[in-house]
Amino acid sequence: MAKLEQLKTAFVTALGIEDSEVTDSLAYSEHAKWDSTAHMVLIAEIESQFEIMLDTDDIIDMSSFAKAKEILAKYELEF
Amino acid sequence: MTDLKIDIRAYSIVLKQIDDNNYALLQQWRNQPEIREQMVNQQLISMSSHQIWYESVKHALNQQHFVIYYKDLAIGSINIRTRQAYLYQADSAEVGLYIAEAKYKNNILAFAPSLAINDYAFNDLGINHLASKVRLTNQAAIKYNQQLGYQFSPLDEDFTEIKLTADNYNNATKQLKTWLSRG
Repeated sequence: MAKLEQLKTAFVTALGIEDSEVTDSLAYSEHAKWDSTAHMVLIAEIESQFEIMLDTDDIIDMSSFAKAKEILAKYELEF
Repeated sequence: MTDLKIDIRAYSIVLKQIDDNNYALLQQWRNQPEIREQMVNQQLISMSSHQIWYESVKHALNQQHFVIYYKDLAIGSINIRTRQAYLYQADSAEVGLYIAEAKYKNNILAFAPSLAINDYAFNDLGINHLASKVRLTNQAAIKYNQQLGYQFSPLDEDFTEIKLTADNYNNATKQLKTWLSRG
């Protein structure tokens, strides 16, 4: 599976949202299903999908789908 | 008896006990509509009432109130209190939290102050268990407290009691603590 699709799947699974909702504008505080608990599930899903260990600051900064792509680029994952 | 801590540093945040310099923040935050509507007492708090309250709690031994800082930014407040005379080795205590900074309300960081104060409660103060009540309509708080290991017992149509032992807390939060401690 392409990495972008993998990342989208992680968001769909973790937040319990539709595939079509996963766009660059998807951000916490702007989606009812993205709360602190969903954020935790999302981090678990991303680390599992990409077999990486995120730094704490990156975990906290992961505030949108666009930001997730930007952060994951630091882990040599290009989208 | 152990001294109560006035600063707690853990999980990327710092809890600083309220003092003359920061106690006014709590009144501003406490009166925000979205915070007030989740409180048992939903009345607006005047500054004069807040000052009276502050004077009554600043040297108290049965409760502590902290401002939460993340990277030097004050983002909310957390408190711990017991109905007994002293927090130290209390049988039961209650933790209250609100994140006032919108950017961090729905963030995993919102767990950090609870982890820090729960560690303090169980490991430093020797408190037996934590308990409080949550509005049934406050699903975000219910999900949040489930992640911390709280057990639920419905009280009435509006509230559920929640209770946390050290064992349940430690079992539930291993992964959360790892995420918030990597630096």
